[in-house]
Amino acid sequence: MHYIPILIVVACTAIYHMCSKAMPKHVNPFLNITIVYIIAFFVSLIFFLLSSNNSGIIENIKLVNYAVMILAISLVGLEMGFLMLYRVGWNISIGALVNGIMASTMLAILGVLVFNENLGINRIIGLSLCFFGLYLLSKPNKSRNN
Amino acid sequence: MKKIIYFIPLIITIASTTLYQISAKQVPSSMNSGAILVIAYAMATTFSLILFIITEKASIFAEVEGYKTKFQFPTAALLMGIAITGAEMGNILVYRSGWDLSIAGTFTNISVAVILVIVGRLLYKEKIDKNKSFGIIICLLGLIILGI
Repeated sequence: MHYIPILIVVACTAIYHMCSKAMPKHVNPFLNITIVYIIAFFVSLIFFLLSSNNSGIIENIKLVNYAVMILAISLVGLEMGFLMLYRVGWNISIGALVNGIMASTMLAILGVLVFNENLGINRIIGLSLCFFGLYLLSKPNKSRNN
Repeated sequence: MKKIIYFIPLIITIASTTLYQISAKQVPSSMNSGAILVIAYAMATTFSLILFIITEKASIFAEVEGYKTKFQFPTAALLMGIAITGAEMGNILVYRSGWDLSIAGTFTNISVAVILVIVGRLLYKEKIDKNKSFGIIICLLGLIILGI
């Protein structure tokens, strides 16, 4: 049960990246994103109606904190960033990887500094390897294509 | 200038991914995860609609080759809408089941990166030179150690 949510995240994120790359490039990216969010809104509404045990949307709105607002802003940034990333020519294999490494590194640092998570020798070695790998990835790409 | 344009989307994505993971960890645990997404997507729809109107008025994307010439409904958006709901729902549940911020993000990134390298090669015929192959191996090794 512990691994089921992360398997869902991995599968859906992989599909999401393929869709990002397949989105039309000749229209305003914010129009694409708006359409995606309208669909996502209705999918999550269906999920909410199926999963809520007598709790109404109004009761849930009362529980909203700042994180929900930041989540919404970061969603737009995330979608916009990935659409633009593929538009300017990043490969699907490299773009997601570079983002993953940089974001993982930042999350590891923030996890320690903000959430008091433990930073052992393993994580220090891991971070160092990530930065070295990132240096290799950032070298001029002889085989860049769309 | 070209180099800046190449890296700006990456910077936006990295900042947003980090912000997104932190906020996914901080959302109220007593709240229905479907309700969180309904509210977040309602807000995200509004934000992106505002940005669409602003960028249209300012003609920011007007220089893109073939812009608006053959608009059609992005069918990929249908699958993408379902996929991001699944990814975000899963992410909220990941943190609710007790994963650390640093470890959960790392696990997701390793797995997605590996899948996308395979997808990139198989579907998009993306070539990966020796430097990048070595870089990917080192990164994956680093991410695995980071996630242990």
